[in-house]
Amino acid sequence: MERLRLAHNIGDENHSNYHTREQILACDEPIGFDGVYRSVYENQDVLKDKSGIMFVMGNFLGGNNEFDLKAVPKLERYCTLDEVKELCSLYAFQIGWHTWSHRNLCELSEKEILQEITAPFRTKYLRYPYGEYCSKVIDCVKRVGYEKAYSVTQGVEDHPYKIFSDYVERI
Amino acid sequence: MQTKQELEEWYEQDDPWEYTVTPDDIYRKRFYLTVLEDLGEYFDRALDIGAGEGFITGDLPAKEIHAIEISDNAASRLPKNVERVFVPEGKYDLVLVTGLLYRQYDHERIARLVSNAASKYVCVGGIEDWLLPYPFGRMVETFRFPYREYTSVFNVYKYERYSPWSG
Repeated sequence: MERLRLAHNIGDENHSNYHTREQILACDEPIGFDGVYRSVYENQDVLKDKSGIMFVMGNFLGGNNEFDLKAVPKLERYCTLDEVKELCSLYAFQIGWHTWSHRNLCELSEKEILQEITAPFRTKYLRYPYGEYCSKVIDCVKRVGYEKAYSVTQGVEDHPYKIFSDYVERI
Repeated sequence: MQTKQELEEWYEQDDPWEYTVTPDDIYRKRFYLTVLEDLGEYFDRALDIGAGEGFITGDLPAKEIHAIEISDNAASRLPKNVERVFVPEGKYDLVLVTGLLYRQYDHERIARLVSNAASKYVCVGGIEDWLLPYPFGRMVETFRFPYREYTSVFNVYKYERYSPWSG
């Protein structure tokens, strides 16, 4: 299974949600950007010669990460759908889905899981919020028709719906 | 089929379907609007057929928005940016018809209205088991998601003139 490194923001904050431009430039594996944060759009020159997946969250397109402020150091904006599509058209990235509301899917009913993972556009790729999955979630992911679903460090190397992703290396 | 009087009675109170407070309907609205956003166009003219009180209508991405709604009570609560019309006024590059192309309604007339009004995109939403399969052109996208105790579908058609109901 092809590896996909994980990143969120591009910036100089000393926090796991941030990678510097240099760290992104130094990464020679495909990158999955979760969010997708506006800082990725603003630093898009570092995406030249990179590939990967832009995992967007439906409820936060063009909005901000206020919902996640307990876990992140500051308020940041997310790209609009147009901006993400522009990035995907300019660089070797595809669009993926990171659910509508970024709730832990394992804590939801089957109906809620199906709603959360149904993207309003065509995509083959899903990233689990918080990397969390369980058999009920995987069953729904198959039914919706995803080819691959990515976890974070909870994942494994050889299962299309439990794909391990480690952060972009911090050199 | 509901009479106009029955519709007026139904719409005597605000939001009788409880769209604005029902999570499934808030989800459905966001879903529709994101699909429209993904089409990548800001439309010139949009028409919502069977708009009700305009739960979705007022947020359609269009410069000019028209709504066809039989109930005067419902239409009196349409958002300010929406103009009520009784028949399509020319062509619309976006026509939306949700929860209406069902056997229990006058679906043939509604389909003709859609077909006569459309110039570019037709978006049809509704409960999968009830929705009648009117082809308004080439289907660009189709989506299915759980909605209340049903499955809801949302079909996006690129309108084509040879539809049998145009005239």
